[in-house]
Amino acid sequence: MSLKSISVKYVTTSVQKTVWLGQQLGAQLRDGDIIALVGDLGGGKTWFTKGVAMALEINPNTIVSPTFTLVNEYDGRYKLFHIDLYRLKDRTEIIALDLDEYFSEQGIVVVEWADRWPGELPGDTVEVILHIVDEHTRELGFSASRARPQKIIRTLKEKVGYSFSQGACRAFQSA
Amino acid sequence: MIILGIDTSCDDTCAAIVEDGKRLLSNIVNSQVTVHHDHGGVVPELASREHIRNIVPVVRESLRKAHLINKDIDAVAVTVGPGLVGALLVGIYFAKAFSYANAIPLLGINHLEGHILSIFLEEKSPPFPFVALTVSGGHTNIYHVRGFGDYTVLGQTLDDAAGEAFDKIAKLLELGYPGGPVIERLAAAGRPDAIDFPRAYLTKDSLDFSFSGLKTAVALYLRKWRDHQLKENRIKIADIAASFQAAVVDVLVDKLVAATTRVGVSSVVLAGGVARNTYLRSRLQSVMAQKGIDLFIAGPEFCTDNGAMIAVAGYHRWTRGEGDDLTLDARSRFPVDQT
Repeated sequence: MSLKSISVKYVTTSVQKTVWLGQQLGAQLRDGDIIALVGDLGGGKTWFTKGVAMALEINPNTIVSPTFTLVNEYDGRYKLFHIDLYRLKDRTEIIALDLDEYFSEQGIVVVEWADRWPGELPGDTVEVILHIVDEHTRELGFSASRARPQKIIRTLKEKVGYSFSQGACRAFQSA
Repeated sequence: MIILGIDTSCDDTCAAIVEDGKRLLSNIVNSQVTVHHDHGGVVPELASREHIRNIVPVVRESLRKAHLINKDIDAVAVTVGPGLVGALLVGIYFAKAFSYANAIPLLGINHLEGHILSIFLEEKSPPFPFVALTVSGGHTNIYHVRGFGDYTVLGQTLDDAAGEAFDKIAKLLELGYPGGPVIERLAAAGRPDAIDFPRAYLTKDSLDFSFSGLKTAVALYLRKWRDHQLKENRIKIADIAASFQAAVVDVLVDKLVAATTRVGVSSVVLAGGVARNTYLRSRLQSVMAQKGIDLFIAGPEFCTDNGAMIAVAGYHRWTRGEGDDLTLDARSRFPVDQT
């Protein structure tokens, strides 16, 4: 078992930095990739997704919480399916929703509250755990067990490792 | 012109019959709130299956209440978005079949436009132009409304809808679902100034909203409050609810006032599920009275999702000579200025 064998952790000190980190991840994604977002209420899942969207050339202001609608769809460099499992409690509801279908479609899938999915998400998944440290500080842990998302995390480490310590939030503010 | 309006965009199966975009003949909503209570939120796909079960009985009931039969209906209007595709399609396919079988026009409607126009079901409706705030579990939008079918979005939420914030905070406070009414009840016994929760005004001129920071602030406060409950027992759970509600309402009121100044209108409309919140209503009433702005609030039955507002929007599309054919499809995202 080589579950979650690759991982990296970052601490962001503002929502802008969280968005920026999402953008760095988003820049490496292509059709079929899945981002599983897990963590505290108010952890920044929707704002992180705005960053992913920016990398896909989707207006981040149009990315809003999918809690109410369950699935929001966007057209960018790739299609983005923004799914939220917050209100779902068990397997039967997820099956009833036919949510599996979104993973076979052409596009990138971001799943908020992904831990409510029964078992493993069906595909190449980068798991991102967002934890609230204090009002503005978040700890984001990235991990993956499959080859493709592991490569994504390796590239992320190369790209983020240096620039993050250099005041990375500027990249977001100028975008 | 008698129009059947259908909405299956979320938790309720709704059908209503409205004459000339104004006179309500019937308004049937198959409420599923009791089904949803266990889940801490609406579960749309449960709703979708329920829609299939409900749609025919709900439409039949709307006809019966209006003392009409199928052939009395002149057109059918149906919500095409925004919403969950699976749920929307139930209403859309029913409407297509009804339109085809009775050889009457089919009108696809934006759900958000329906909320804006719900005020026209009231005795007293506003003159154009006006500013509308539609605020619910799914959206928090400010519109400049210049006429039927002529809308500009002035502001919208960048993350959570106001009603969603109420629902999520209610869950944190272990109060159950839906969050709005329970928080409002609890807040009535609390002090709105007990805790200074953040108000997100964003940039100086922004009419957009953000409620996720407030949600985080309440969650962090609750953590501490639960740990030090005995030491800080002067703060009651009702105070937390009241302070949270005040933080949401302050921003809604201030941005709505700013919007009226920006576009220079003398009428304001409040609609959507959160419009039922009496604290919001009374705050708006006093502020708008001070400013000499006429405030129009949709009645409770038109604040939640309903078919009547869809029939109103359908009537005005029809009078503009618009309509749809049987290729009409659901739109999960549907900005109202693309209506």
